[in-house]
Amino acid sequence: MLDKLKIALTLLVVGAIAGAAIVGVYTLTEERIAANREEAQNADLMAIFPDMDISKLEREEMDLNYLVERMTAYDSDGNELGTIFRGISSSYGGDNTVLVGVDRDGKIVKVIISQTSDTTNIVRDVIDLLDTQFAGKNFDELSHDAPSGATQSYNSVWRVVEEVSLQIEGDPTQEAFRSVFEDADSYSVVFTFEDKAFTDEYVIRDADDAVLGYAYLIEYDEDNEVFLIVDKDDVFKGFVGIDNVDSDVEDAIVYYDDQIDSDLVDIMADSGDVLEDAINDLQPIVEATTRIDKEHVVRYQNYYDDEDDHVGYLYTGYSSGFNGMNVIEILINFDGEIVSIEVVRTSDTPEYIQPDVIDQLDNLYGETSVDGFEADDVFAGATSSGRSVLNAVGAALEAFNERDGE
Amino acid sequence: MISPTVFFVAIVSSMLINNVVLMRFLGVCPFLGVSKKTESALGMSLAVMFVMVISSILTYLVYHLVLEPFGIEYIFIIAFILIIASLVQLVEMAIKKFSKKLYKGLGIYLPLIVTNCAILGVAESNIRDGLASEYGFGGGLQVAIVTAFGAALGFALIMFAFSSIRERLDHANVPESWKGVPVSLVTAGIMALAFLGLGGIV
Amino acid sequence: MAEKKVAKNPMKPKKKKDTQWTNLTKGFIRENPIFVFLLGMCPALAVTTTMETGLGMGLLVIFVLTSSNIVVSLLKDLIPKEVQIPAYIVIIATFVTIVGLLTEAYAYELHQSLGVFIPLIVVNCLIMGRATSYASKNDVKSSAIDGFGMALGFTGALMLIGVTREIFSSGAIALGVYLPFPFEISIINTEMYVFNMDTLGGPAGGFIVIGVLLAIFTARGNALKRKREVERQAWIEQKKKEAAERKRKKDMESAGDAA
Repeated sequence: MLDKLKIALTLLVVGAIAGAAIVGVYTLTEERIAANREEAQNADLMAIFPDMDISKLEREEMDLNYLVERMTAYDSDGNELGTIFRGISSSYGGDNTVLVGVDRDGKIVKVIISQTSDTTNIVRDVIDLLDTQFAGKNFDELSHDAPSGATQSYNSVWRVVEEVSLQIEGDPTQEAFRSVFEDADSYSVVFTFEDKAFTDEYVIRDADDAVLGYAYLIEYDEDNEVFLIVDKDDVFKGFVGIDNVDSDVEDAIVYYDDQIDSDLVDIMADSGDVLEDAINDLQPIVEATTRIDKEHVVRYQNYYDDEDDHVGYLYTGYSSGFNGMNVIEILINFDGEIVSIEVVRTSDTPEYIQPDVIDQLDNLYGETSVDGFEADDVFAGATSSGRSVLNAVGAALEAFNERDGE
Repeated sequence: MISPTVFFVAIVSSMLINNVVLMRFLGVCPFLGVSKKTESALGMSLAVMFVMVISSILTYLVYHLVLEPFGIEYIFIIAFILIIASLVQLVEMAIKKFSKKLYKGLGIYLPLIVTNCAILGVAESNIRDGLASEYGFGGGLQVAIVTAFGAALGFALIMFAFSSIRERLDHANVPESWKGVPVSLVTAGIMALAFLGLGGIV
Repeated sequence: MAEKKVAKNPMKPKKKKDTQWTNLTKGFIRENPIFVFLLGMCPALAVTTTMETGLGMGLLVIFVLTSSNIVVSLLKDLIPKEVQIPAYIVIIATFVTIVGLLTEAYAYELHQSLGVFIPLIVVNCLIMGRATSYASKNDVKSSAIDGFGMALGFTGALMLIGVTREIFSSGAIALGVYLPFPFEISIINTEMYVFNMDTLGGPAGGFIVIGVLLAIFTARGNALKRKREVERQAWIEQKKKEAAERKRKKDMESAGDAA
């Protein structure tokens, strides 16, 4: 017993002395270590702007996809030298922290990987490229050229640089939307049309994710792209060119300026160009359908049978399948039952979608919900195509029920 | 929810790309000492796998639940090495008690594991990589376990491959002064060269 | 009878000069931790890409090994045998933590380049080995000298590896060959390295350089052994001759007596 006590006591004493010694050294070195760590962090910043006065650095947090910090650098006389962006982007080994320095003319000064979890010899391949590929270049001169064997590490750097480019050069699409809706904060493509004067349909939202309006992308000619913009009540908000459009395109846009703020369906379209076609294509769609702000389904319209009796609603759904977007029309009667489903457009391989999906669709007819259906069971052999159809059908049924509740 | 890709990448990267022995130089002593026979190499690898996974869990928990809240991260060396040493002791006692057969197989390798830097090295790098801040506490733990398992698999792979090579080397006509460890080291170097080539796969 | 020069007996161990000088120098070559005992191979591979990192690691080990040897020797009578190992672990880990904090504070660059291998000093078999096999049995002064000498030998080995790797990797590329190594190509004459010596700075180079150096060390040891063997044979021959001589003389004497 006494022996054991002695052992325990010895260990305790050794541990206590050891602890005291470490705490002593730690308090002695704490400040210096903190200073060293900060200096090491700043060393990367100094490498970008060697004339920078670190105490004058202005830091500002960012919350974007990759960028987390924006720093404005000044020299000791208070002259602005440029901006440094810090971005974090994942690679195969973990996160890479990338610093991008941009001078006042919008030229990249230097790109640095300040922290990496990737294997040293792989990152080295990327680091070797940073100076030749990025330093001293304008953002529009950059080209994506990953070294073989280090693609992931390279892409993590590239993503950050790309986002910096949007910050410096601005995002032309966003700017186009902002010129109409001041509060525009985010946008996304919800639908893609075929055989129309416009292709992509964008929904524009404010910071609270409320819908502000819609935009339709028109390729005016090879070099110029124009948006047809309407607000959420389908009031015409005019045409807006993306980036800088040529002067004759500018003229075409101005032609419609006096009709801004009229309902789209009332617009007189007679400019004789693709803008006229766009309005003419969009008017019947807007007139006949009601929009739905829901994933996988964009709009619905009243459906009349051969005798012109109103028998139900036709929903236009979309979902990405195996290869790209599939567009599906779902007819639902007043009881909320599926009457028919038609795949009107598909990017998936016809051999897959034909026997395995389209021929199985009548299994769903008469259903009021797709909860019991698994794509794997119903569409064995074409699961992803089938799942995309199920997504759209499910969304349509949900939209129907929500509409009913109103 | 962490996507399965994260786990897959973690296991491939810790097993092959950042192989503990050949790329990170951890666990070289047992690699040179115990890899003379395939059988003992496998025994050692199993014991390492066992201890590495458990010690990774324990050190992760202790670091984030004890050291970090108290702000005494800097004593992690003492904490980790004590955890590993007592864990090995415990495992040894448990195996001895429950399975004589297993003890016969693994018993002699267990004490050696305390000084195997791969265990401490992997535990340390799990903390240093900031898994907890990246995937959250629970997610970080899962990734840490998978990483440790992958590292142990990598260790086992090298031990097995190398012991097989060494069994043949014994019969090769090697110059007197190159016999044994020197030629093994050069062989390991060539293996490391081969592993460099795996760098690009993820 | 004429005085005849007698060969020394090489089998008889030289009278052990147990001076502190031999205690200090034994780790340099004869009991070199890396090249003879293969202890601490992990840092020997990992931190020897350049001579400076090797030297830096060596300095840390000198500090830790000398201090831990002193403390272990001081406490040798106080620590019960049952808890020797845990107590030693705590002592060594303490010094490693201290040295880690000090390097981070005063040699940040070194701290960054050594990375995980600073905490890993704690599992360096050399340190635990000296604590259990020497410091726990000897007085403080000899333990300190033993630790210092052994760590010095360790440092020397790291530097030798570091110098070799640095010359072959960067010496051929960035700085130009500034040391006239006549066997630069012939020592590593496989096709792969002639073109890209940079490899020696990488992971594979560590293994290969140590392997080659180890072979040289072994060759030297073997040569010594052979020399001793030759001496021994010569000595045996001489003893045999002497015995035969004596026998012949004795025979002659007895023959003379008989006559």
